[in-house]
Amino acid sequence: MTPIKPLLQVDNLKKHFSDEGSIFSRSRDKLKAVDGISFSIREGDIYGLVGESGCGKTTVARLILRLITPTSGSIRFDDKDLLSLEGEAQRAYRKYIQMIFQDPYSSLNPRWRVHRILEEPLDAHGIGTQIERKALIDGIIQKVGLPDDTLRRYPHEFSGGQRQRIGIARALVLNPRLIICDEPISALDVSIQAQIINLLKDLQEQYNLTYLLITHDLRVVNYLCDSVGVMYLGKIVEQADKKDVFTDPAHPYTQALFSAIPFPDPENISPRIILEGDVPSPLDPPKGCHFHTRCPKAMQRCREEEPPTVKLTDSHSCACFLYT
Amino acid sequence: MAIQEHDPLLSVEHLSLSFETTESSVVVLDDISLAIGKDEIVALVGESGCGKSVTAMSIMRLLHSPPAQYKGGNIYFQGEDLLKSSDRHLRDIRGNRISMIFQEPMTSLNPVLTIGDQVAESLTLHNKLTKEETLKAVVDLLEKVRIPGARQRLKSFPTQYSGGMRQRIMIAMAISCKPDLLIADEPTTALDVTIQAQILELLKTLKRETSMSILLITHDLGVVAEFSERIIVMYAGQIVESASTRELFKTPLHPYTQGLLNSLPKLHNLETRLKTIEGYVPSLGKLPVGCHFHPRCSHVMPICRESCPPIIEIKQGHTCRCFLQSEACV
Repeated sequence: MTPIKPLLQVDNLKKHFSDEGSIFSRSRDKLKAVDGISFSIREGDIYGLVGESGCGKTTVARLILRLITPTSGSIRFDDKDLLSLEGEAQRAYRKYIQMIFQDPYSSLNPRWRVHRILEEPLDAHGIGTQIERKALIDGIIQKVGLPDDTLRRYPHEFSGGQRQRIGIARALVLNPRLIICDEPISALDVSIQAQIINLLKDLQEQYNLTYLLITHDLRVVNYLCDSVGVMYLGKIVEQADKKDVFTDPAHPYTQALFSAIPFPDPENISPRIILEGDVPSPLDPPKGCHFHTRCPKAMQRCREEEPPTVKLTDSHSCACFLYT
Repeated sequence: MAIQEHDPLLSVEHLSLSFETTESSVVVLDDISLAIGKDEIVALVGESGCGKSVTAMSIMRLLHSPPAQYKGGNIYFQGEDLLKSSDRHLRDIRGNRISMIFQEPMTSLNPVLTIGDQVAESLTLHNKLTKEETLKAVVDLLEKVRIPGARQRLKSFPTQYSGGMRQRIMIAMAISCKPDLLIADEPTTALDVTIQAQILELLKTLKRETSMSILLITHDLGVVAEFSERIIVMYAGQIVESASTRELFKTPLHPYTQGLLNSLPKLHNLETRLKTIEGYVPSLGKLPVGCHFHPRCSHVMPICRESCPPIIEIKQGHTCRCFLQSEACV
């Protein structure tokens, strides 16, 4: 693979929520939603961020979009420090990074016709004349496979899959370079999921888009992603090219995630690793390796120290004492 | 092989149900027939709005009327017709001989009652127990569903538990009276994959220990493949295919089932494109004339646009609702 410079580079990003100030809280409870994660995405690649609910993956998305401000760390987009941008400069950058949301039922304004939903981003950034906008919107509607009369209708007239197409059209209309897809198919019906996966893939190839795909479903990762980061309680525990993670998952958590996926083949059921217990609360993460309470391979050391991230190969890294 | 020689535990015969409002009448279940044997796990699979939850609710007789109207058919449970049973008798059955687990463990527990009280509720309703006996039974149940420190947890509230733990509590409530049939409506859909694996494992173990039958309602074909012995596929208010799990995955007959199986993303597959079923699931109020699936079907024939195919048995234990199959039979 030729070394392409990364479009997005995240370094040691942290977001700690504290509920100081609330009269109900014990003082200085810190929720370390994102606790020092680093990754980079090359232009034209799809990076999958995988993890269970509460691991902090959506917080990462909101940090990159600068909907919330990180506690520390850096986010570089196209070699520019996103965190130093302010006011108009920051606004201008927003159009390069767009988002597709999980729930197509709550992410479209029910009182707006689809035309207005799609025009709003153009309006906000002052792009194009009336005629140019119309041409642009008509083109996008076709690209995402919606019928021509879509623009005059309201969101409630569409099914979940069609609404998700509208959400995708809204993200595309500004011609962004990076699209953050937050669980784009998990709210859809099985027969519709495949359609949306294919659509995301086609659009990516056509426009040379870069995706940050946030998902809990490794099967989706298999179809879309070039590289993967696995998150657990605010940290990335394993990171590699898709091929390496799928053929040779290193971290015990990644292995358990793979093994937990129900396999749609009754002839071929493999024994599975069942993890004990629940994901611990991020308010009170376990000492040492965060995963040691559920890890089938936990050692004494895991309970005391935090494992460093080590490189297994050039592109494969893992934070686990088994490999140090 | 699960062939029923004796009478099935539950048998639903030609059940039709519609939702009636002043303006319209929508057929939600159209000629549903299914049977569940003793000690059997049957899965009811379909997409949202296909009527699978309504089927479960109508077996439990939990639908309000109006709007729900039973249009015909029978539901036999251990020989009794549930559609003809009195409310009082139904209350004896619910939670006692048939019980149910719901999809959302977050919303189906009462937030202002303690865990102990909620688990005890159906126990005390259906059995005459002293306080000590109830307490002991509740602790046993919580231990059975592997809740650590059960005795200390009796006085805690649902908000103090995670999703997986709440679903365990729901399961403890459902099995408290040793039901003959457990209806599990999307029991793991709201849970994370690693927790889903735990809950399915728990259900399997409980089933082995108590020999209850399970009707599992889900949209996840992966869960079904590992968990159930027989599968019933629903589409737009009708059963379109049913067969044993192995048979259905090996030789699916209905184009919808074939499409569903093909469109599943596989974990280890080098193909980069998924096969899809074109179009969208129709809403039950606006069903197409003829076969409900014909606008999305890749094998559509003229007859499919005119009349709805009957469901027929193609092979022993394998039924299918498609003209392609009935023509092959003729």
